[in-house]
Amino acid sequence: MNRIEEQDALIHLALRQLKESEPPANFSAEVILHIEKRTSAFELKLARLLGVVFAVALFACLLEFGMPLWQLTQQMLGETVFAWSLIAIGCLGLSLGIERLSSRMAHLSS
Amino acid sequence: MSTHSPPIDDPLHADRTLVAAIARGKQGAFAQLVQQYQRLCWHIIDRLVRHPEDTRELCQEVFLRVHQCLHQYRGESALKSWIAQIAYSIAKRHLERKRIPLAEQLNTDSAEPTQTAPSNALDLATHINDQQMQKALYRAIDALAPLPRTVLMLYHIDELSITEIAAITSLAEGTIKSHLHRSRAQLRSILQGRLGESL
Repeated sequence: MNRIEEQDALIHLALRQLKESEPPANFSAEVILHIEKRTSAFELKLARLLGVVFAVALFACLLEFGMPLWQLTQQMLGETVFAWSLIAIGCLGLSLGIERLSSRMAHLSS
Repeated sequence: MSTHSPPIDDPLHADRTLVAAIARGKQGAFAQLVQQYQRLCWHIIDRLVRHPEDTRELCQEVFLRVHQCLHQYRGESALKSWIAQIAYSIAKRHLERKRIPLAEQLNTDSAEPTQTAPSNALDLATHINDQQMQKALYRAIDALAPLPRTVLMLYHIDELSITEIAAITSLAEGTIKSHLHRSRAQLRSILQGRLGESL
């Protein structure tokens, strides 16, 4: 080992002994909290925005086409078939809603 | 020895498993990633920016970026290098915004090995544990520009290879070697100057 290598080895030793600044003990918890806040805030804002847009669009459609469409469908299907169709749509919606809710609960619990 | 080691021994396999767990939404998986790499990330940023509050904020930003871009990690390189690259680029951008130069042009004289008397290496060895010498070393490291300081410490303290440091900093291996050579020469010269004063 020549002189320079010897000195470099000593510098290496000295550098290994340096006390460096370390992340605080709660750093990972802080990061997770930060991410959760940011993610949930974004999701909440997006869900609210989409909810408002959907409600406005639905209201506008009903106002514009609601009554004539309702009457036309009733005439085409007949009273009995129309009533059963409404019940079927209601059941389908309820079933989909329950499925969504249960999958969300499972995701939260995992 | 067989070249087909079980996948469990493969560090990339462990990285891919951890990333898959995070993608599945496994509770605590991302916290595990943060705990695993927070020290390296902190050290890279702290060595570059040298400001505790900025280090904390930038380090948080790194893990936010990792969380957002984790789907881009393909598992072809070590997660450690991927996260270190993000940490380096975020700290570098911070320095650029503050108009702090990453590396200074050193004149060729400082890159030359310091000519010393044969006994100086031994003198350095006896004084290297001195508190005064440690302080001088701190000051000498602080006097280095951010990039050479980071390269020097990644190599000597974190024991990363020149190839890994080159990948993190997106610099050529020759440039990394040059920075290491110059920084060590600068440290030698400062420490021996200090030693000359104390003797």
